[in-house]
Amino acid sequence: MSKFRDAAVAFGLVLSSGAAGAGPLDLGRPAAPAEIAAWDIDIRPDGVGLPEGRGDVETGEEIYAEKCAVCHGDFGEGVDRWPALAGGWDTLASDDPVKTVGSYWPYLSTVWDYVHRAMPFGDAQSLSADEVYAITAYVLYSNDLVEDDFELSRENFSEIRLPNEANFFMDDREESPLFGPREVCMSDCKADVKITARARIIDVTPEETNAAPTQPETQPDAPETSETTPAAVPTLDAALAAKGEKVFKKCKACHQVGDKAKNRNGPVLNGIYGAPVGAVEGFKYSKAFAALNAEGAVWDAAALHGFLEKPRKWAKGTKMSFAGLRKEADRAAVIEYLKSVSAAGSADPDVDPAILAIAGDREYGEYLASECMTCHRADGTDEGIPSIAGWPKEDFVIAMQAYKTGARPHPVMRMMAGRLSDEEIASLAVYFETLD
Amino acid sequence: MKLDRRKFIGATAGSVAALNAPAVMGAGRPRVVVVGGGAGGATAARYIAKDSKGAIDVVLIEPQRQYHTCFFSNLAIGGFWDFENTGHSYGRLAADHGVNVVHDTAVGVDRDAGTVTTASGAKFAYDRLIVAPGVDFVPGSVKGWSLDDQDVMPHAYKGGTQAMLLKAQIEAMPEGGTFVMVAPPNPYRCPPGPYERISMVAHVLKRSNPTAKIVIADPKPKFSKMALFTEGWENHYAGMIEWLGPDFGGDKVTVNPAEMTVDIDGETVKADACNVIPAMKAGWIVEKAGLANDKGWAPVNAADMSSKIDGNIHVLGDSSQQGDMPKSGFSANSQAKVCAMAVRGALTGSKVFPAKFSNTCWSLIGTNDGVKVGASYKATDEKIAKVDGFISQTGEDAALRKRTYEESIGWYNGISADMFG
Repeated sequence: MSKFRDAAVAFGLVLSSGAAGAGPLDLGRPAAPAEIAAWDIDIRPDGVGLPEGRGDVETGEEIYAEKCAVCHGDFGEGVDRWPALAGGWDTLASDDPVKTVGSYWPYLSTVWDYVHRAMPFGDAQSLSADEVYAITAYVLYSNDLVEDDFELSRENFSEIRLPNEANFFMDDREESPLFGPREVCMSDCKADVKITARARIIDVTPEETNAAPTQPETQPDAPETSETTPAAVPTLDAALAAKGEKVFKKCKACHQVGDKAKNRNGPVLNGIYGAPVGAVEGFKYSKAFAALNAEGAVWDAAALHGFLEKPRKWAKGTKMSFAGLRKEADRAAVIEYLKSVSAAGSADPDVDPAILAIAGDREYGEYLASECMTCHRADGTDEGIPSIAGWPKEDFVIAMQAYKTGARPHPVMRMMAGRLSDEEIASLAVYFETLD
Repeated sequence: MKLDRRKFIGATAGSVAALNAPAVMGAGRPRVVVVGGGAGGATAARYIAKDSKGAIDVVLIEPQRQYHTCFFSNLAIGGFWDFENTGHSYGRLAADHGVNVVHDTAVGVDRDAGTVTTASGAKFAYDRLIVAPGVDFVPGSVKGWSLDDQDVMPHAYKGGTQAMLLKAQIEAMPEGGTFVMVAPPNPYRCPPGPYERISMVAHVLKRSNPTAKIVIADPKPKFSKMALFTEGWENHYAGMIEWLGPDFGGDKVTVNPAEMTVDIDGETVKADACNVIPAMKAGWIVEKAGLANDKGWAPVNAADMSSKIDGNIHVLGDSSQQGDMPKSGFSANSQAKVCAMAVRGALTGSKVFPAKFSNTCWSLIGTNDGVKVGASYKATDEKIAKVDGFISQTGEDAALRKRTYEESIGWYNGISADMFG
């Protein structure tokens, strides 16, 4: 606590000297209010700094299951070496203390602050205030600190006290490093330096040595790659794929799919079925995957089953920290889902190239588009109803054809697309492509 | 000619348009006059002005400077939407598209001369006239009620301040009091509207006055989204709402505004708040212009919404009798675009494409519990004919209902932008 407060004071000083404008060095400029606001997100133990908002345990559980459980476990028990968030009662004095929110943490504000600031891993600060309240409520619930109908809000936040709060107190001993100004050793402070433990032993560092990434994935157009990709257009079991999409939630914390997907902790999985192993552009693979890639391994059903069942057994040394899908049915469903996610990133069925090639009449498209504008906004506003302005023509056609064939479920859009001819869809696509 | 203030404002707006409009124009421009600035009229005015890029002179005659949409006024009653946010001004129609917005009331149409007269005495010549005045109430359709009673027993069915009056009356009900709605016979504006309103009233009462009762006297044996509303009322407001269809005398109603009582098939109910929604007909100017049939609506051709009585006049939205489309803001907006395209084609020779119409009506039953019904339509020789449709299902999960509600907010903002720019 005392450390934190000092850091906060120091930070405040930096800000105020910045705000004073030209200092001795005539460098920089005062921070803009928006810049300060972007940094000034800390939450104090007394609740100062909390934004308006609320969230209940039930909502929190849903978000947690989707975004947190893959690492922290469904009940906060922690997967592998990822931190446990719940449990650990009466372990603090033991040799192997389990430091959880319920057993160790002094203040709930730290939970809110940290989740808001740094979670989910790889997608920090993507959660709304309400979502953070909900997740925090769920973490409390998983520590048996609140009932299942509890709702956390700014108003009741400071009423929540964590069990271990009393064991934290200001260190007022004179020998404490923060007690007052003192001489600090800056050189040769320890005569005898030796390594006492290695991080690898406790499994926090991936088994990747400092070898430079000179792996085959950086070499484009390896001949065997182009021969393996057009393997076969798989036939799809839509119901199974839909089930797989649900199971895939476990993977989403690290793997993205879709037209806006980016590599995160794991690579983008668009079109992964049938693709060479370890070949997603721009992703830095482990040695294990680089080797598989060099061997010409392909993500067919057998490979995916093997990897998904026990990732670290199938690819020893993989960076993927996921424990695996034990149920064969889950694996089959996820694989079916991955089959359905095309290389273009949409889960929509492929469209006949002849339909994609239709040119479309922009003027006709503009008239037809007037019907879309009752709900969709020309200025790209995206609330409740998605923006469709500025889509690439092909994406638009693929999406509309998916509604037309019923592959996409939305009833209004099925109806609207259902009565449009292929030419009309192309005309709309041409028109919307030109809207910014 | 005397230059009065209104004409001066009009002239100024016109010159702003001249600065904005890229096309060369002048005295020879064809003129479209639009009567009524709601979902039909405002949309038509905006699309004709926008798409003709100044080649057509568009005059919009609308008495109100601040237009309040009827749609979402129920949500304002329920406390889900700010009443302020149902209000829209016409500033952008003038500034962005050069529409000449005249705040006046149209009182007459001389079809032979091709002119519209307004209450202030001004005359506007038109090449094409678009009439979109919404609805008026059929006098005497609810026994004991006339427009003079609208402050005591509000209709709250034409936008404006009536919805807020009704809300205030609901909030002032004594504990355990009774709210009565007299529902309208078909056809009327916004088919699910009265039942969404019941949901919103129940939502308010459940919080502030949970022992209050709601009675609906309805002349219709069934109503829009009936299964969805019935299910929702059971889920959210069990035991609170009593619906009396014609089997229970819901069609035999007399109201007494002085006593605040409603007589339903001989049984007198003391009302603490009463919402009377009378039978409807086309806006008054339709009849005045000689465009109405014996049922009080304006029959139109489906392909371009032109009146079957006068091809130079188009009638949009609630006032029109077009076939299968419900009377809704969405429908009027959809019809306006078909009409705008046809009018532009007739006046400037621009391309005319086949007519396509659509409609979706969202309703809110309770917090985050939205449902919808909709259909697509095409023009046939006789009427606007339904092609395909859908409706929300009973028993849908909460997440879907929430998305539907969020979608309705997206739609409200979308159609507002589509109407007013």
